Amino acid sequence: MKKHKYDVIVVGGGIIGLSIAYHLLKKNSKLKVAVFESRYFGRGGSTRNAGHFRVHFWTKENTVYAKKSVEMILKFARETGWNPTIHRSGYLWLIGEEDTLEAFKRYDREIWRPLGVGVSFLDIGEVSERYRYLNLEGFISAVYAPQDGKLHHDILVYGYMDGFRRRGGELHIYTPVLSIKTSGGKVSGIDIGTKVIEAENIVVAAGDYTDDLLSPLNIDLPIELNRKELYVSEPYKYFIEPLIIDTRKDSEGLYISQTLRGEVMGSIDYPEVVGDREYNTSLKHYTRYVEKASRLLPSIGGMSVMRVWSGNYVSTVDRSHIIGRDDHWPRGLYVATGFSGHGLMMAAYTGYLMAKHIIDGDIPNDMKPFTPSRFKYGRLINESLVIG
Amino acid sequence: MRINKGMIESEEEPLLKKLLESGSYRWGYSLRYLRPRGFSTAEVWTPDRVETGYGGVNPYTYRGGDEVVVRNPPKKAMLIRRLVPSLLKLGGYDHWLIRNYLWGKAIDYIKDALPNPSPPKHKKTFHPPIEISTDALIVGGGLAGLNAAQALAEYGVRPTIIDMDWKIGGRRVLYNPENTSGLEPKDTISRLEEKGVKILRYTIFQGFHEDAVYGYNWREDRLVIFKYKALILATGFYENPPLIENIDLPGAVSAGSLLKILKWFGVRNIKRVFLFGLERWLDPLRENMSRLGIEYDELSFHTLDPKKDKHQYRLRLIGRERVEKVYVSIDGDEETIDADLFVYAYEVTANNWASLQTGLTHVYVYGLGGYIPWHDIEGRTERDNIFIAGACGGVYTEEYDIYSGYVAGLSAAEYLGKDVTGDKKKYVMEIRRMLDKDIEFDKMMGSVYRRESVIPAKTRRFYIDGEDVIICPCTDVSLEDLNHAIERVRYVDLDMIKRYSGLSTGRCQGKLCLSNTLKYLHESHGGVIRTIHHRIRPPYTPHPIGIFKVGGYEETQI
Repeated sequence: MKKHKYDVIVVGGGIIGLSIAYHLLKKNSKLKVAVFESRYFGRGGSTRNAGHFRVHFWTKENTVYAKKSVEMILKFARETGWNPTIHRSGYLWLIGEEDTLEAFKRYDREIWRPLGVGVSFLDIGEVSERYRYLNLEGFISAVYAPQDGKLHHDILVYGYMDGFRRRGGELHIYTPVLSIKTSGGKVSGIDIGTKVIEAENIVVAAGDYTDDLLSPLNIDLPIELNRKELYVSEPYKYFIEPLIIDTRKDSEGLYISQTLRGEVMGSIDYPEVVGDREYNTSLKHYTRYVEKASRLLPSIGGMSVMRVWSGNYVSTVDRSHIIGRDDHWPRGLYVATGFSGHGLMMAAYTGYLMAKHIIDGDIPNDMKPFTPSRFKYGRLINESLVIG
Repeated sequence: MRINKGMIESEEEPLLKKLLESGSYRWGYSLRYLRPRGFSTAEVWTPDRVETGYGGVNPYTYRGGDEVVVRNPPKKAMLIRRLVPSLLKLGGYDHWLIRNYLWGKAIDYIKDALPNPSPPKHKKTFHPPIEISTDALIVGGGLAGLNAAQALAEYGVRPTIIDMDWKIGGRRVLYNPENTSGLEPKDTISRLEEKGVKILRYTIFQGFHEDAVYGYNWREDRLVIFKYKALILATGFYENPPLIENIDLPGAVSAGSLLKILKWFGVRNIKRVFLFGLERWLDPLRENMSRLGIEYDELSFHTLDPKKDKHQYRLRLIGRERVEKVYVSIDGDEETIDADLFVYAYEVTANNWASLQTGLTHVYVYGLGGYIPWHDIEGRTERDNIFIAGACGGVYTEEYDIYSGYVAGLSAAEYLGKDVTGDKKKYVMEIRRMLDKDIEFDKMMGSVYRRESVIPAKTRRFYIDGEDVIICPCTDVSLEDLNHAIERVRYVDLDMIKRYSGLSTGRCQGKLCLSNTLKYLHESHGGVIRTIHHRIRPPYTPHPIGIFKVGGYEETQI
């Protein structure tokens, strides 16, 4: 058999891995790139998410990153021929406490407005006029962000997959990577059980499985799995335009939204961290959701629930992703993981940055805050807006 | 016309009968009549679905009957159809014009075009849920389920049986042509109840969650939450609808549904029935038809020349609002036959809707055309506390159901700390004896036991070709769309095709289309999917979310 040697092997066929692979070939079509996926493309959070995007984060770094990523997603349809059905329907944060409002005002003033993505503050009368289906008791204000919206996440995954293939990339599904081989302080290839496949560079974008692959190399990434359950109703006439987030402290991060198909869906934060690779669901949290959701949207009680499913946030301690590499790692090893629930919206720019980083060698400015070294030197990003 | 003969006097007033008589039961129209489908894969919906109907009327087995009202498509959607036809077709969203220029406009169309019902405004109250703790929960009160309960009871375990019907006994007992009265096996039930077995009728298995299973009592409109130590699935089988054109028209029903309708409700306004399927399923139907004096035509697979490998046959149901005619063409001979009801006694598939929720690995069994949760001869599965009882597909004799149900009960008893070795050995021997006798069956069940799929080298195409065949009525995905999805995704992978086409994400969550889709993928693209880890998500049937909240909800303005 002919001996293969790849320039880059991407481990993980989620949206991050596919986006990186796509952008690598887009930047340099001569590269030999392959993606290895243990199941089917987009098995993890890429297809198990609520399909929303936003540009508003608590930190400048993430806001800049997301803004550029969303700009790229807006061009996605034209570029790949796959329409991710983007609908900029906005985010609506309902605010019940003064200190939350102050925080939003501060971030709008200091981060969002200077970047050109200012939000508007609605008084409660305005909110009740616009969103008459909500029970606004206990709220003092609302923040409306028109730049944010929803999209069809699967299309984004398949668009990158298809674009990568069209540019001559190799795709392997149902091929789990068992370990990463190194020799002489450099990556040498991946072990897929039957054989070792050689590569110059390896990008591990395998979500929480990244940790499984890197810990044999004595690399410890501070990521944890955080399960979220989603409750999807039967389709109803489209009436909820934005993604509505209840920021009250006793609402436990509740959000409700409606897809273009008409399904009303929502979720709630877990009080404890539950990681689950089987995507189980639990009755306990179901009842919690019903209680909180029916307080905000009273009519939800009569709506029929069609399915309950779960997905995972691959979270880091500072709720921001880890991309790039550390100088002490074997040469040619890169990671892109820990997106803490923002992988979908950040995939486009991540692919662009990583491709630039791998091919050119230097670290782009926007990428610098997110490199793995930040945990070592204590330069954490203080990101706490993780909803949606 | 006198056809209510088959009706029996029942103490309970069946819900379906009530609905039929009140004329309030409506069957949703399929959107392909207006053709807005696409990424949103428009749903089949009944805008005014009957409130309590979702529990009692199982739309997946009972599809049609009489007094069916089909609503006219909304005018607005018709307008949209004229305006942006390419928009509303699968793949149409990727049309360059839409994609690059018109998408912003198209969103507004889509919002209005989908004929979804308005969100509920009315106040609705629910009864508080009941919580039941039981050692063993048995899903399904058929032969296998009853025997599993018997085994457990003999070892001092008090299981709970739930069944969605108002009668215990399952199809084997209740729909058996010899059981003309359609009565429950009263002696068995009272014997079990004496031993402390709890039997809950009207209770549908709704959802499998990691911390509990919950059911829904459709008679009392109440949620039942089960905490269990062992779970035995004895859910039996259902008939898989054939892939023929217009199979989603009202008036196309499965054989089991027909028998149920005949036995329990009688059939009015039915003059002529068309039977289609396999001989062994047609037999009881013929008997019932003659008993009721209904004329019927039939197309049995046995009448086709068995030597001939591939018959060119084509079937199509014709009708505007419900079945009026059946068009048949066999090797060039064409005929159109009048029929009020089209009955498919086609093939049975394991009713794995409960087991698919648990995340167990399922093995493809070609002879069944379906997926069976992997289990060993003793009914044990990958999960320590879940057991499979019965042939899980009703594919074999009653004897097998009895023994395998009993053995699954013993395995569960063993899991609960009872010593069942002697008994179990004896009955497992019985099952082995059955397998030895029947090579065909051994191949089928043996493959499940060994956890490997058996796919014959030469597959016979049972489906009837035609692009306009709807494979998923809930999301209105046709064979054409399925092929388009495969072409677009370029992998014959269920999960990816599902996510692109929207197939199986509709109201029934893949109950109708999943096995047919897999069958089609096997037959047209080679045996590629041997085991699936696919998970159907709870609930089993959509139910009001507020049922989890005691006390109901206030009226709100939308």
